[in-house]
Amino acid sequence: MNVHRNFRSATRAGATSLALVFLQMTTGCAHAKRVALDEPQRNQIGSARTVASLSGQELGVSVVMSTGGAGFGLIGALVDSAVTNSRAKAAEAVAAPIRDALVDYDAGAALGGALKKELAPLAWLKKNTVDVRRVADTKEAVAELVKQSGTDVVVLVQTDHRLTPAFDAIVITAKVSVLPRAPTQAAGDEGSGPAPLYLNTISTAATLPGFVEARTTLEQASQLWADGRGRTARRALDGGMAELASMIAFDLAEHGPAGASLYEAPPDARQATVIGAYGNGTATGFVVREANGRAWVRLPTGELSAIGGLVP
Amino acid sequence: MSARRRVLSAALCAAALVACRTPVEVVASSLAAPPAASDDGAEPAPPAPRKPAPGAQPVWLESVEDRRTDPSLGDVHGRPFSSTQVSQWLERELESLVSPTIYVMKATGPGAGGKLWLRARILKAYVSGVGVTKTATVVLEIDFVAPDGSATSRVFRGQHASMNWWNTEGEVIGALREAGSNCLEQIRLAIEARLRTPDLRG
Repeated sequence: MNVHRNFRSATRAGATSLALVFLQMTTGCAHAKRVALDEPQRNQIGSARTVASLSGQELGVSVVMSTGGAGFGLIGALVDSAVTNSRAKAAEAVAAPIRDALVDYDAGAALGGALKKELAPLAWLKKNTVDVRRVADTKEAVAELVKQSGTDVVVLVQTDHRLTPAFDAIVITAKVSVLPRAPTQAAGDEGSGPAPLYLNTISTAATLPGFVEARTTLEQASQLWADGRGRTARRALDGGMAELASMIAFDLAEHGPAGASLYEAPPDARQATVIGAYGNGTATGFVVREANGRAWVRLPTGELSAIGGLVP
Repeated sequence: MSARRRVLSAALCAAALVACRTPVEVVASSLAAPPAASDDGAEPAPPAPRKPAPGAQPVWLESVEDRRTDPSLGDVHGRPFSSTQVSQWLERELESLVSPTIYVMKATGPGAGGKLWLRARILKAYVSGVGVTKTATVVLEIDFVAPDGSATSRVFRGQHASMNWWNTEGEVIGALREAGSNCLEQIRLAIEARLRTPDLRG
């Protein structure tokens, strides 16, 4: 009898612990990823250098990772890898006509020009210069860049441009950080580089006109982007780079919620779903700005994403 | 597992992870096609001098220009690759293009004669990773110059995508080599097709 009671008690305790762990996981994971630049810090900036870095030499692709094999151990993992690999190979091959059409397109120049234009009106970003150069996405490379900048802060814009897995949109994503030259990291943490004064992921997606979900194939979408020496793709990229720079200027000046709490929609705000950063999945947030058929959406975790047709 | 073994395993894992992200400077010799290994384990013999087939036509390579703005070759899953020797590698590969009907020679100066001259420009050379796949790309623009000096340009894209098993230097360099071969094969076919046109034949 006692054995039964002990077993029931242990089971109940286990279930309660599991529920608590689950609750902690769900609430513990939800926190803002955006670090807002506060006003006192902003006023202390005497000089800045903006560095825009493009991760890929050409338009990239993205794939939906296969997960069907999950739960089947090593064999399942191998099957998933093979399926994902096959999708990626297909996407790379089908993207070739778009890349050929864009072979003379200078995404760096488009980005650099847009940043110069949009950051110039920010009076607090004093003596700012903008240059485009490749910066490896490693802590060491970023720390070295900041060390050699000779300015109070470096505004680092690490940009990626790629097609969604269905080729129905081109997504430009930027990880934007404002890094101080003076080290602010905790003692004993020198290897991790300077802690950012501002950090956010900002993305913009332009959808392909004429794309019909579940009907337009990858090959057809590729042709639509590539036609006329990549006319549509060039428009998406030019418009996307301009919008991205405008979003960065907007977001640098925006305050954040107190502490690390989530961003809450104002009572009258419209909810909208956007394509996720780096073309992965979708996310929902509230609209902060809307014009010309495009909406800027703030996600609960702070990221800013834009969605709509081609930028006019 | 003893504490000593645990520490050793952790150190080995950490070393492997660091190695997987260490920047790699790629040299031309590592990009060149590897010589075939001999069966008895002896040092591989140097490549035999190229012998054009009887009746094969010479094609002159005038120049190879690297139009890339920086030496970066991109990165695969966080591991950056770069090279300042891409033009050396591709020049050597172009010079070794040979088939039963053509062979490419480096032009040493004006007056070499011949029916077709090539001017090559390297537009792209990079590696990238998406999901579990690594992709290498080489894009060359070739000017085909006829004896009357008229030139036509064409862009050739070589690509190789395959599973990224270990993210090793050898794997990624191998993918670049394959992309280069894919690009050169297209160029060889284009040269042969051009030499078959009525104004260059005969």
